[in-house]
Amino acid sequence: MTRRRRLLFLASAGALVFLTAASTAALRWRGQERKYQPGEDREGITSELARDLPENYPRVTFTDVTRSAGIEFVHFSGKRSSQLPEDMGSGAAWGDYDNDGWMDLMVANEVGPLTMAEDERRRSPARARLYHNDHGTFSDATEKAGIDFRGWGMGVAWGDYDNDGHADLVLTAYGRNVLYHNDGNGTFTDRSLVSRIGAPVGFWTGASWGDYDRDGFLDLYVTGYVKYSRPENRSVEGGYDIENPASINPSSFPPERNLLFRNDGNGTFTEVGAVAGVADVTGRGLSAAWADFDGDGWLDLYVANDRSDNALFRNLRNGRFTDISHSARVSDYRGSMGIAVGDWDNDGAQDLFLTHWLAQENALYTNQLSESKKRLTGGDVSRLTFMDEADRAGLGQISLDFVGWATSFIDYDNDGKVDLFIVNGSTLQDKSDSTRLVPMRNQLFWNQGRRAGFFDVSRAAGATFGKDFVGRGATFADYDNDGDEDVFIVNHGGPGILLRNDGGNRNHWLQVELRGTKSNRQGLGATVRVVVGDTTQTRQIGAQSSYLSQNSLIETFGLGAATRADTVEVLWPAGARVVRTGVSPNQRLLITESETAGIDRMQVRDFWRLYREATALRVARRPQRASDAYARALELNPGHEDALYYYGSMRLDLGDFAGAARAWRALAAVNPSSARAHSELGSLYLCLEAGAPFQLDSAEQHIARAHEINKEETGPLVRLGEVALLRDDLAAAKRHFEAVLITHRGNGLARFYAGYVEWKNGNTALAEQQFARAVAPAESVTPSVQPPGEGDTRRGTAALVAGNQRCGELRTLVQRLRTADAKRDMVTRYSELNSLLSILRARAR
Amino acid sequence: MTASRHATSRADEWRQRLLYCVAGLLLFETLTGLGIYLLPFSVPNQWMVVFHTLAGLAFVIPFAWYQARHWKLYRSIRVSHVVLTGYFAMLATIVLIVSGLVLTYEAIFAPRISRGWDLAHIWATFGLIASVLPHVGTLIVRAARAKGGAIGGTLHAASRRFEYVSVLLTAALFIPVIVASVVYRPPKLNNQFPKDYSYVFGPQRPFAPSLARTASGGAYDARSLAGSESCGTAGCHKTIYDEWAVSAHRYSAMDPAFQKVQTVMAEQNGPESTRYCGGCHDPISLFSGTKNIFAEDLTSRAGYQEGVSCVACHAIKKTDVKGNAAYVMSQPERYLFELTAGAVPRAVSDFLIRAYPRQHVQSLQHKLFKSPEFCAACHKQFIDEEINHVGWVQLQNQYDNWRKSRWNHGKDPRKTIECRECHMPLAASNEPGSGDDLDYNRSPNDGKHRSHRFLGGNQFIPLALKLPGAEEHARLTEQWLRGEIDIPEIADKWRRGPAVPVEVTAPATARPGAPITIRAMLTNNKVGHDFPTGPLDIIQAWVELSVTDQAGRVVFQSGQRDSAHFIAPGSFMLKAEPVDENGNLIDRHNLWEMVGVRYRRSLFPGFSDQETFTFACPDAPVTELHVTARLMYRKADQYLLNFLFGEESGITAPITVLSEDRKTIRVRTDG
Repeated sequence: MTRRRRLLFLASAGALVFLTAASTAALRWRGQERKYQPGEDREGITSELARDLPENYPRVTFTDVTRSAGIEFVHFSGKRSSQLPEDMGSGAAWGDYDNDGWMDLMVANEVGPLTMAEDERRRSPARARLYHNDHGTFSDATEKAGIDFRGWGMGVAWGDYDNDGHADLVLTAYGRNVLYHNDGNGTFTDRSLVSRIGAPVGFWTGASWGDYDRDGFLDLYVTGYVKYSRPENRSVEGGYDIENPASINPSSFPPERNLLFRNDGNGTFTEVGAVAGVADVTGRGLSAAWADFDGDGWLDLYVANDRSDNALFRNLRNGRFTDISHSARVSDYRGSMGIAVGDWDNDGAQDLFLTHWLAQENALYTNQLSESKKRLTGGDVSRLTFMDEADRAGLGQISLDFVGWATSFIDYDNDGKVDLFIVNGSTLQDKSDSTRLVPMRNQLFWNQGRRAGFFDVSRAAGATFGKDFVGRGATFADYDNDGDEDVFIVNHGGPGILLRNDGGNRNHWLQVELRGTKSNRQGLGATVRVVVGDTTQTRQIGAQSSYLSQNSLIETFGLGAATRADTVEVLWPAGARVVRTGVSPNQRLLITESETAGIDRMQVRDFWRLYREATALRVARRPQRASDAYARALELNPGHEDALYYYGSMRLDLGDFAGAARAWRALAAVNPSSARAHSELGSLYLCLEAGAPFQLDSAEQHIARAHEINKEETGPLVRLGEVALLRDDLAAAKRHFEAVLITHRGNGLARFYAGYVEWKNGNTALAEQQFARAVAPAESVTPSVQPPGEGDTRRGTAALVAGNQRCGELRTLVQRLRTADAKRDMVTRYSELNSLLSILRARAR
Repeated sequence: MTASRHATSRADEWRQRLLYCVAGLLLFETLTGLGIYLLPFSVPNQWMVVFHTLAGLAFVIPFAWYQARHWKLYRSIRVSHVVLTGYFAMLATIVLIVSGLVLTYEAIFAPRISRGWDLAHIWATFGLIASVLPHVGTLIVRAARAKGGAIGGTLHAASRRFEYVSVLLTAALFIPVIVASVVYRPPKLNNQFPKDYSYVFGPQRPFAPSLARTASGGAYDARSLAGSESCGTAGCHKTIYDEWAVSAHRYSAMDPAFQKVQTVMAEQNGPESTRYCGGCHDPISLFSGTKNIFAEDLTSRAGYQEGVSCVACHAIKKTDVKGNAAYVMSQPERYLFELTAGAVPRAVSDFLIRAYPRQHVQSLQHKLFKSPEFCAACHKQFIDEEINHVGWVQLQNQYDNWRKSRWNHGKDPRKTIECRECHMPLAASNEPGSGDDLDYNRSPNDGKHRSHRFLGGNQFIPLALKLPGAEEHARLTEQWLRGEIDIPEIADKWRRGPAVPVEVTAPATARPGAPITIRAMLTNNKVGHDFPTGPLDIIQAWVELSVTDQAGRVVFQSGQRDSAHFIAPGSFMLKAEPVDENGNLIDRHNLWEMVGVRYRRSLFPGFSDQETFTFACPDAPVTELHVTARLMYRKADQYLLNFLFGEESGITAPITVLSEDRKTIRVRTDG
């Protein structure tokens, strides 16, 4: 081998060795995969349901303006003692309690740990608070309003239960519920006991107002959570590492029943939960929503239960409900907290969204009504079903990491499709500090439409979504009247936060506020439809119960870029329908129930036309035609008091005593304190005309009733004196006439009678005195220099019309005697009166 | 060489950028100042106020710098008219700056600008014009004369350039004024009746049967008459606002009794007929067309809250003495952003009102407000055929009561006491509205305003509504009713003592078994009109009389109330019993049915009324009888309250004892 060859060989061998070693090493290295790390990203695992933010997401943000708006609300004072009631609250509600057009805010609160001493509780700063909205900034009006609640407050809801135009307030609690009546002057009165709403003691959570029996008065549904009692022994026997004790596990306690308070219409309520079939004794209720899911015009009820099946109660329209949870496929067994109700796919039917506990997907139950309607002829609503589309719509999987609470469908970007806001916060205790609960971030989902569903836009919707809170209740409203929905969130053991919607009003919007007249005043349960082009948005007023909370009853509809809404339609609970067309955007519409379809308006116009015609005929002394016109007016408005009164007069003028009596009795029935009805009936029964129903007893009864109604009036007193004369009861007659004369000394008739009584009693001198004053020209305390005074007419002090000429015989005769020819002396005249009275007495017998 | 250097330096002076800036701003300030002063109130004029202020603030430092430099440069120059006018202009500008700064400060932070500084600013403006024109003018003319030659040419060119640039700068400064004026859109007032507005008395009389009218004849947007709160919250008329906020003018519409009666009237007599009430009780709702058929609420939100609002009185331009709201309402033109919500717009409008108050004062202040005839528009009432279908009936009439009374001596202010002198007494204040050079006994700087509390006879409703300061108001009203409130400025022409004293006449002695006659006498001592006044179908004043023996046993009584709060029949009462055509009582304030009265009993100013009571003297062991008479007063009778609020509500009107008298009768048994 030459040197050169040898070198070549050695080099080749070396290279071979090197290559072998290198490839072995490389193979070895390749074969040794990196160790598994929990949570690492790896090939072969997909998340098909995960979604990226689409390009065209709305550029709308929520800004925390709590401090600058003047709200300083802190929930819960002190440290938790790990007891369930401490962890569940609290909620909030927007409502305009002073009717100034700006949404005020009521926030429930929990004073602190259940272990708190009584005096600590009294001193606790964590009280329920009422914030008055003054054009977008808030001041604490709690004290001024007279609201003093220091307990374990859970839910709040505004409801004008007495339809007086001022929203009243119910506050539920672990303990007793409270009803505050809004007195209309900025203050509230505690009516819990009078109304019976404060009677039951328990662990009460959500409160929802709704008029389920359609009587025009709001009823109240209150969910009961569990029958809580503090577990006896909380020590860690056996040394188990219990992070979350049984005392905060709802499954440890039996469920509490729910309450349905039927409004009796007189300021009191009757609890009819069991009778109506909605007591839901197996459910640990947290919130409930009144909504007309089957579109029959009657409110149904959906109840969200924690760790027990949810329930859907269909209204049977007879005051009772039937449980259709299973057939409708919404008997969700998971731990449900909050409820959003709305038509997310704009198909006209109300859908449901529920928030759930950790590791449980939230549910989007889409109402299949419109689909089933398409399939079934005659729209068979007995087939009311829902389908959980949470996953398909992008809402399911993404919620597994959260304990969801308050939620609502709101169209935050006013694009005409309702979006979803979800408030999260754990029920689990912080491992390092068991007095704290684990905080979580909130979520905002943008609805891109039926096909694509929802997208989590939280990270592009403001810094607030990057922060963690122990969220519970939340309430939605346009608090700054700028045309988009804002939100207030109650965080457990921390500050409440007010998030202002910035940019939502770049799209056009329309707000609808309702005022019921036949239905409940606030229009709860009414359906509002806004049509723009071929899109119809449908909302039901007051349906969303969020969690322990209530949203503004003024609905904000997004119109997108549209410059008008083609139709705004309101279907009232009482059945009326109001339609407005070609409505300009960016305004708040106030729609009242009375502006209903043409037929009612025509009827009202007809009534007034007839009534005015009747009045003109009456004044023109044409009783027959006036009577006919009144009768026709009364057909349109049977309870009209003035029409009844004057119709009676016309019947009397026509000699129809029975007809007159009927009219006035009807008047007394409509208004039992109508003194004039009884006065007229009294006169009628004292009537001396042929055919008149002369009955002294009846007359006295009615006149006495008129006197009883208003003892200060002299009119019935004179009549009572006359009755006493007819009964020959001189003492009583004297008493009545003297009483009249002290108050009204110029009453000549009473004085004439008073003289007669003295004459009969043999007091001639006194009789002479009275007689002389009675027959003299009317006395007056009015000096002649006085300008015209109250009641003076162009003819001086005389009344303008003499009134009914019938049935005044006694009075007419006596007046004639009183003012007769001066030559006839007292004795003659009183003798004549005496014989007149004798004749009448005989007749009365 | 020196001359040429001097000319060059003068040319340099003309070319100073600082000079352009100062001159441009000064010219802008002068022109806008004159515009503000001389031109009528308008949107551009208000923007001029805003930019005048801003430019004025921007002017201070450049001017100071320039002026210091200018003075240093020319202080040694020989005294001439140019130098003198220069000094004078400097002085005027300094006065303008100081007064301008003070005015700006006051317009932002104080309730009003002071008259003295305002005058100083205006006079200094004219002083400046008079001095700066000859000063600069002379220099320009000199520069023009020197234009021959190279140096002179430079000077002339520099002065021409100064003219161009400073005028251009001034013009540029006007651009924002013009742009703002074009861009600004005042809130659109909805001066329209609702589409379905029912014209019962024809389109010419949309508010009938009320006699109230608008200057335009049409509707007025509620916002244009509301917003009283803004008068009190900007730090200007807070005292007056607080007084008004609890007064009868404020709650005229929210009064629950009014609301209920209005509802009943609408139900029984037609919703449109409630316009009759609206002219005086609820003008905001009336003029905005709220009182209409099919209207769910006859009172609008603003109408309810504000009743007779600040503007509702202050924008009245004409009244007639026939009453029933016979006035003409105007719609004052508002300042920029005055009707816009929000802190910034509010600050701008408040600033403008204070800095430029002319429109505010001219549109809302009027000598008319002092005269009783102004009050008469609402404090005189009648009904006629349009209401009761029958004919004319007088109702409450404080105006003519007063006019014919001993308090009215025509034009002699030493004797005559007019409405405002009692019901709006002078109160010490720092109100911008304090001082008055038009009232006979006042001066522009008397440091007083007329109280807008309008004390009268209602000690009930403010408390029932829990209005702010209701307790104090009710207490003052009770003092007022008793005649315990002194009014120093009219003390010499008024009366002293109780407003309406009650006096008892009784025999000194009596014999057992014999009849005793006692008298109770009432006198209208201090009241400027009838007592009681107001709706006499509702208001009650009566004598509660009791006679007890030495042991306190009741021997005789009258005027007591029963457990249901009704006054016993047979009491000495001041009230009226109005009736309908069938002779039945008008007991629900149903004036639309009233045709006259059964009787009316009230006391004309200076008149007395009395009632006699007779009872038998009891037998021994009675030795003495104590007679007590008290004049009682309440705002609303019990039947009405029962009707309005239901008997079960337990609501009754509070009672004030106006006066009291006692007498003792000795019972003689000695034969």
